[in-house]
Parts: sequence; structure tokens; C-alpha cells
Amino acid sequence: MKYSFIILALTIVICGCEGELKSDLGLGDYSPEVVITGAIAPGIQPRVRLTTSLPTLDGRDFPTISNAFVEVTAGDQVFDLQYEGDGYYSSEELILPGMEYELVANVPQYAPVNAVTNTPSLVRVHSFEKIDTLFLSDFGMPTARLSFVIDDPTDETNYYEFILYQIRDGAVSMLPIRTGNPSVENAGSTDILGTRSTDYIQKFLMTDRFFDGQAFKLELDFLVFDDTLPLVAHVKSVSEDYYRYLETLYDASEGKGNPFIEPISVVGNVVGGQGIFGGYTLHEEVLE
Amino acid sequence: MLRQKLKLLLLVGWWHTALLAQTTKLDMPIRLGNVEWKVDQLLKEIESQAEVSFAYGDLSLDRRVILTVPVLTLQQVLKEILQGKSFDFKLVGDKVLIYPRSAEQSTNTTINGYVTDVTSGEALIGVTVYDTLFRRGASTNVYGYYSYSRNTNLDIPLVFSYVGYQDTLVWFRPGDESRLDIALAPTDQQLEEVIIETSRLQDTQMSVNSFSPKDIQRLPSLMGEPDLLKTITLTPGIKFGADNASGFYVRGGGPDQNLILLDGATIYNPTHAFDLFSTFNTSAIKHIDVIKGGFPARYSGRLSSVLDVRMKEGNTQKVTGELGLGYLLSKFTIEGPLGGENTSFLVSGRRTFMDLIFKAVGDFEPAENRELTQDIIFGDLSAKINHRFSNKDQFFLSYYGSGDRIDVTEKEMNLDDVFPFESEMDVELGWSNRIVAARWNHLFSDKLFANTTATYTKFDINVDLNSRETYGRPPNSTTNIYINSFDSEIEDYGLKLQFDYFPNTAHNIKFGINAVQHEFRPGVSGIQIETSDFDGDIDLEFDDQATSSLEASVFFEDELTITDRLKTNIGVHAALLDVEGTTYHSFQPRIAMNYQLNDRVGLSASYTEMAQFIHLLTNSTLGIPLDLWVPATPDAPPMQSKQVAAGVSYRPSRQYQFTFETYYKTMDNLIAYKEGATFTDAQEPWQSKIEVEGEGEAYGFEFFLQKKTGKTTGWLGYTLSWTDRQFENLNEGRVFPYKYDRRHDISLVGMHEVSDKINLSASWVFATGNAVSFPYGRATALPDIPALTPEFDPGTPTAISMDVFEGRNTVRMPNYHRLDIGINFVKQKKRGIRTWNLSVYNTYVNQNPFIIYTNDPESATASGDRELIQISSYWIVPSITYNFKFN
Repeated sequence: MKYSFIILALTIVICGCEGELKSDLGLGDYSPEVVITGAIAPGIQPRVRLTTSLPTLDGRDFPTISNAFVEVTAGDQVFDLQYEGDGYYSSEELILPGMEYELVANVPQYAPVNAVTNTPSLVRVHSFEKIDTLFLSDFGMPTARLSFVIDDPTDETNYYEFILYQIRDGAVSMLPIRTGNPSVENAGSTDILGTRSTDYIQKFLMTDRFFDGQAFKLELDFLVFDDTLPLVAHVKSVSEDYYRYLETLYDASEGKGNPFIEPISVVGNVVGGQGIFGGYTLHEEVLE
Repeated sequence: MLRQKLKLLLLVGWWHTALLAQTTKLDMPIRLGNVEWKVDQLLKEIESQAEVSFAYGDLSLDRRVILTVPVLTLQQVLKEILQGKSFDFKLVGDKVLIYPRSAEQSTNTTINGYVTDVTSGEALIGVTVYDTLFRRGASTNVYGYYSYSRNTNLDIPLVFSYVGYQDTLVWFRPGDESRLDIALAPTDQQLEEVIIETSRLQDTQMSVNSFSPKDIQRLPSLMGEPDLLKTITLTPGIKFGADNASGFYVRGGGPDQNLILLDGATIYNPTHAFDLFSTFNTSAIKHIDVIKGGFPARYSGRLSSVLDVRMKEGNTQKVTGELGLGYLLSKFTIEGPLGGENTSFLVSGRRTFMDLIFKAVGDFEPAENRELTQDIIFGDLSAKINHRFSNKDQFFLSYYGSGDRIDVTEKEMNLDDVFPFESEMDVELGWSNRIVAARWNHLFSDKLFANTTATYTKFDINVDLNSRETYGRPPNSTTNIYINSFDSEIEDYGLKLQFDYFPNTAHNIKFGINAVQHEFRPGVSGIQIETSDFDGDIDLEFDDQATSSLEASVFFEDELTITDRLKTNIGVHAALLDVEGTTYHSFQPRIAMNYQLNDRVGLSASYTEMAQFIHLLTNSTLGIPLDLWVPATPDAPPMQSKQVAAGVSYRPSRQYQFTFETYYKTMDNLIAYKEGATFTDAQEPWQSKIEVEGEGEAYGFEFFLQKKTGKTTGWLGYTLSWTDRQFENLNEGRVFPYKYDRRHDISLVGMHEVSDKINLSASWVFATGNAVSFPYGRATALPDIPALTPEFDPGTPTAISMDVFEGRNTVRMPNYHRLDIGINFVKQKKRGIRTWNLSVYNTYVNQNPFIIYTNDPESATASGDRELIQISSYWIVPSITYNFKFN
């Protein structure tokens, strides 16, 4: 990545000249769409946000939608989501595990949009262990190691998301993590020993294609910013559509601004619009 | 549907267009009056009326004829003239041949030899050797050798013709010594007789553009440096890449699909300085062929084109040379005989001045506590020696080397007491080509010519990043050293044996074998980390993914003359690849046909199949040399293409030629980077970064009008084309336009000789904008920190956005157009020819975008709108160069 920018900078220094492009390349023909962002989890009230997209060259904040009719169904269960402000819609009902949910949103002046997702079954995660051996990272920061085990269910493909954070002054502070485990799809490159990734990232995305139905142990390193605060680990089992969304969103944001990478389309599950209505189950572990 | 109809319509239309009626000049009325004529005067009068010329060998003109009818046809006049004489006549093009009749018994004669330049002794490639009596012929091969057989008792009028040279007629008498070496004189040396210009209308080789270095040197050029690759993109069917960089794209193919040969050895990266210049030094080049379709069987290895470049062999007559001085490049060439006419040499080199300019300019953005230095240097060296052991054996040894190095160093320091800090970062990028070709030509007989070529090719790239950071003051300081290197190379060892067999006038057979051992190291990355604070320094080398493959092939082709008007080239190329325990086979039939409707109109058609056993992992934006060559493997099988092409050539006069061609090509097993993959991530295996089994389609129409002779020459080229790609995992599996799917490409090139001392040139190009992926819209996305609980929901302030695309390559960059002009001031000096060249690149300062992006939302205008920002590679680039050719 660093090479790309150095080369680009060199190219521009040698011969480049920069200016405003007079043409809009036909981008003005874009018609805004309804955008849904939200993820549901068992035991939590459903909450989604509705906005509209904007043409690329429109620099305004995204308009929120306040006059939509939003409904969620799961089998015989039907409930409306009420507007609570700033584009958010929620319900008092609780989401159940192992169910398929469909969201339908009718927004005046737009075609109806809908999205279907499911809430994965709860996954057993255990044996969290923090190893306090400090060693030097690439950035001269002390690093620690963490391991845990997932009991992966059999006969189904499972998708996982993992994050590690601390709560500092009431705000979430994500901890950079890395691993050499090939099951982590976005871990980046590993060294010749295959034990370390060369890159620290904020979240792991992985499927169980290498450990379907087995107990899976994941070891990871993380940068220690403040060893006085407790660590909070989230292991999420996510729906396939939510996983694809997170994966492509991650890739798109990684490659954004790099002219040497083909741009990536974020894959959502909203029919007739943009965005994601995903499902997940959460296992939370707090390590003092 | 509409496109398919259009394709069909134009293919049919090609045949229909060709059905043009022909009339013969023999029926043309000649008005001569009832007078007595001297034959020589009479022939001159006929020449002026009928626009024909005569060739009459030993015919005596010392006689008179009396014409009793005031108006006769040309045929009737000639019969009158030859009445009672043992001569006959024949009309060939605009030429009337008058030749002796003979009653002697026919003998089988083979005429063979080399055709060379009279001034330099350089062998001439592709010279037409035409028997104007029997309307048969041959042409010289890449070593200037020809062989022509005929069973006759008549004297044979052989015309040797070659663009840029005077036509030469030689009457060959059966029974004479069959070896006939001919030296042709360039057209700027006026000889007594201009005979006839046979055209390439008769060639079965269609879809080929040939250039001489002289063509390239006369055109205006970027920074005054004649550029072979930029010149070929001025012809139909060949597109330039990003902002007229030196990469090229042929008939919908990618940059990896071009086989670039220098004296038979492959060049993998033909560019200097990030595509600014091509690596070819035109001072050392003799001949260039670019083949876009109808590939003869002797060529293989790439899907879309063959760029066959032949170096000069060195002047066998005298020592000559050339010096050139521009503001970015200097160059020299020296060539001449070594101890006689049988041995000659050539050495030619170029070196840039850019490093000196950067040193003089220093820091582009000077700042306190910071030093920035840049260094860019590149150059190349060509050398060749050849020796003729005998009339039957000749040996050539060629060397070519090129190198580029770019070095950027940045030093920063903060010496205050609060946070003392010192850092130095050095980034060095380099790449080089090395080629050695050894060739031996042997004549087994006057009908069998053999060439054995052994080649060595190496292309390597290297990137080094060295960083040293020191925090604090000694003895409490901490120093971190970070060294990251990236190396990649491809190395080839090749052996080729080719025979040219000329059994009779109907056949010209080529056959041979070829083997290449490829050694790939597509990415070796090493990291060293040292620190003064902790133990445990790191010194790692990542997977080099080295592999090798063996490519072997046999080929056979026959240039078959079926009738006076119909010729065909039928051949087959069979190849195999052995890589990683897997063997691939490829059987590639080739056929090309030419039908001569009349002396002015020729029709051609071809069908070819090609296979390519290596892939190029290339970024889609720049042709920078971090592109990696990798072998076809079971994960990425060999690419294949099929192309059908048809064309018509029309030559209304000696000056003009119009060519129209249409083609349809399919490509299979293409590869492409996965979405989000980057070529700079060398640690990840390349196989995991690519999409495979892609399909491609390309079709189009090419129009080419040339004015070849006279004070004003030039051409107009127009290409109307489509090309697209389809991959299962790209663009949701839907077909999308290829990046260089440009609907229209126009090039207008003109050169004018104002006088012997001044000549002008200009070129104007227009191209539809490239297809790029650009977001039409943007939308909210789930934030990087997901909603853990409502309590920690980050809400709008930290929510991120995502781009909304409507498919891959759906946005068109603005159209590209540019005018370049040049003027040469030429003066004959005592010791040679001096030339001053003034060129202006992008004369009317059209800022053609190279990269487009949107500014940040914070930079939006008061109305909230964002702007599209473009980066252009070039503004206006004037240049002046000085050349001196000494003799």
C-alpha cells in the first residue's frame, strides 16, 4: 500500500498537473435511493436507520427519512417500527434466535424496499485467556496475546466477526489486533512462519470453512494502549448477508483512495435500495 | 442484437465493396494521328496519354513505324510496333513489359540472394521480388534473403521494390549464376529509372503495420525523443494506454497480450520512467512490424499482437555514427565494418539527464526541518556484431540492456527539547531488461534457408524501503530501523530453429521448433526490523513463490500461390507447456488469404487461434513495472483467443492507399485482480489475488488512408471498436466494458517537406474516454464500530459512508485529444548531417485527465456540491533536440 502512494506521488511530481474537471461524467443522472442500515440480535430490540443516498458530487449530509412505514415480520410475528428521530426506527419487541426476519419499508416517493435476514443460533465461546507477555510490535508499542475457543456447530456454514475494545471515558476504543490464522479472511499477509500477520486491523471476519463442526482455537495479538482498563471481546455469529456486507465494506474502505485498486462495490441485501438489514448473535467476554 | 446485426452487415459489406469492376488500359484509345513515328518517341507519347510506362530490356528502338489510323487502342498500337519482331508485351499494373519470345527449351532456374541497402549494407526485410512477366514473386525474410524459382526459357524481369527505396529491375537470363545479391538505393538518391512499385496488396499477411525508424524520427515526439511505441499507437487498431503512456492495447487485448520481440528475444517491459518513454532506441532499429491479426504460424505466445523489432546489423561499408542531445536524453550510435565487409558492429546508447535536473532543482517543496531529494535515472544500451563466414553462413550476436532507478529520500528532524525526533526514509525503485540473442544463418541450398537463434531474457524489478527513526536524546534515545524490500524477476532461456524452404514459385514454406525455459520469481519480500529498546530483531524473507515452466512448440506454414490473383498462407502452431507437473497442449490453426481483384484492389481474410502460457498481473491504472509475470498454472490455465478478420485494400494511385479491416475476437481464460486486491501486497500468493476463467470479446472496424509519396505524406486512421470482459465474480457476473473499450480512435498524421533543409510534421489524436469504475452515489454505511448496544451506538457523527456503483467501468472519462507539432532543420555539413528538431507536445494545452477523484466533503462548495478533480500527466511540453549524423 505504501508503495502505491509513493509511486503515485512520484508520478505526479514528475509530470502531473491538477485541476477541476469541467464535466460531471454523467454522474448527475443518479437518482437517490432508500438506504437501510441496521442489524438485529436476539434479546435486543430491533433498530434500523433510514436515509437516502446522494449523488457522488452532492456534499450534503445524508437526508434522514422520518415519514416511512417500517414493518418487520418473522413467521406469524409482525411488528411495526416507530420513528424515534434522526432516521432511526425501533420497536419494543425483542428479536428471537434462529428466526428469519423480513423488513419492509414504504417511503413516500420511493419504491418499497425490503430485506431478509436471519438471526444465527447462539454459539458457545469459551476458554478466553490473556497472555501478558509483552513484546515489541512494528510500532514500538507493547503487545499482548489473547486466545479463545469457538465450538462451531455442524452441518451449517457459520460466519463470525470478532472485535476487542476498551471503554475509555465512556467511549469505545477499538484495539488493533492481528493473527496468522488463515481462517481469518481479512487478516492480511502472514510472515514466512505463517504465525503472524504483518498488519493490525480492527476486526476479524472469518467463516468456518476450515473448522466446520469442530472446536476452533484462535490466537491473536493486540496492542496494549492502557493495561489498567478491562478488555471487552465480542464474538459475533453473523448472518451470511451481514457477513458479505461487512467483508465488502471492509475491503472497500481499505482500498478507498488507492488508484491502483479496482473500486469495490459493497454488497448489501436491500432489494430496491441500498444498505444492510443483518442479523447476529453476540457472545461478550470481559477480561480484567 | 443491434451490434450483432451491425457486425454481420459490415462483414457482408466488405465482400460487396470488393466487387468492383475493372477495366484494362490495353483498351484505352490513343490519339496519334496519321504520321510516322520513331519508336522511342511513340512510346513516350503513349506514356503521356495512357499514364503507363514501358520496360523493354534489349528491344532496339532504332526504327520507325507509320500509323494509318488516327485513333488506336493501346493494344493495337503495341501490335503495330512489335510487328515482325520476336517480342511480346504484357500489362502489369501501370507498366507495359516488352520481352523477347524464345524457342529454346525451358530450364528450371532458382534465383536467390540477399537484398541490402547500397549505402550501409544493411539487409532489407520484406523486399518484394516480383517477376513481372509471370506475375509471381517472393519477398525477403527477416535476414534479407529471398529465393525464386521458375521453369522458363525466357529472360525474367525481376523488380526489387521496397518502401523508401528506388525500384530496381534486373533481367535475369536462365542459365546465369543463380545467386543474385541486390543492393537497393534509398529514394533520396536519384537513379535513372523508376520502374514499378508493387504493393502489399498481394500479401497474405493482413493486419500488419510496418515502420522504419525514419518514419518515427520525423514525427513530433514527447520531449524530443522519437518513440516507437507511441508511434504505433497512431495507427488503427492499436490504442495507447493511460494518457498516451507507452503501453499499448491491440484489438481489445490487454497489455500482457502483446509479444514484443527484439531480434527474436522477448522484452517484458518496454518502458522507461513510468511509461514516459519506450525502451527502444530508434537509432539502433532497422525495421518494425506490428501484427494485429492473421498471425503466421511462426508467431505464438500472446493473444493479441506481435511487435517484431529488428536491430540494425551495422554498416558494412564505412564507419558512421550519430549523436543526439535533448534536454532529457542524450544518445550516441556508432557502427561500421570490422576488418572488411564481412564483419560489422553497432553500439548505441541513451542516458537521461533527469537526475541532473532533479539535483539542480533540489527540494520541490522546501520546508524547515525537512529535506527531500529525488533522483531519477534511466538508460539503455544496444550492441550488435555480425560476421559473414561465407555466402552460406552468417552469425549475429545482439545485446540489449536497459535500466531505470528512482530514488526518493526524505529526512525530518525536530530538535526541540519537548519531543526530539529524527527520521530518514529512503525509497528506491528500479527495474531492468537484459537480452542476449545469438543467431546463425545457414544456406543448405539455394532453396533451403535455416536460422538458429538462442536467446536469453531477464526482466527484474526491485523496491527497497529503508527507514530509520530516533526518538529522544542520547543516551536515552530509541532507534528503530525498518528495512523492507521487494524483488521480482522473470528469466527466459530460449532456442529456436526455423527453416525457410522455397521449393517452387507456388510455395514458400516455413517450419521449425521453439523451446523456452521460463524461470519466475514473481515476488520476494524481505523485512528487517532492528530496535535499540528491545531484543528480538526481525529478519524475514517471505515466500518467493519461485517456479519454472517449459514451453515448447513446432510450427509449419506454407505461403501458397494458387493463381495469379489468389494467395493463401496456411499453417499450424502446436505448443505445450509443462508447469508444476501439469502439461497443457495447444493446437493453433492459422489461415490467411488474399485475392487480387485487379491491380488496385485486393481482398484479404484470416482466421487465427492463439494461446498464451504466461499471465501478467497488472494494475489497471498505470503500466508501472510492479506488474508481475507469472506462469499459467492449474489455478490459472493458459489464455486462448480466436480471431477472424477480413479486409480490403484499394490503391488508386502510387501515392495513396486505403485499407479497411474488420475483426471479431474472443478470448478465454483471462485473469484479473480480485476486487480489492493490490499488486503491491507481495506477501500474499498471487494465485489468491486473481479471478480466473474470464472471457473477453472484441470487434471493430479499422479505416486507414495513407499518402505514401510526395512532398506531403501521412495518414488518417480511424477505429470503431468494442471490447468487454466477463468474470463470474466480478460485476456480479455481468459483462462489463474493458477499461480501454474506446468507441472511437482517430489519428491524423502529416509530414511535409518544405525544402531539403526544412520538414514539418504534426499529429492529432482523438480517443473516446476510457471506461472507469466511479461511484454514481454515496450512502450511509454501518460504522466501523458496530452498534454494540444502544448505549454505544455511535450514531450519525461517526457513521461512515460507502460508494454506490452502477457496475464496473460504467463511467466514461472525458474524451482525449491532443495535437503535437514538430519541425526539423536539416543541414548538410562537411562531416555529416546536422538536424535541429523543435517539438511541441500537446500544442493547444488540452488537459487530458489521467486520474479523476472527488474532493473531500469538507472541501465542498458553499452550495454543498463536491467537485471532480483531475490530474493530467502532461501540460504543454516543448522540446528541442540536436542530432548529428556523421559519415
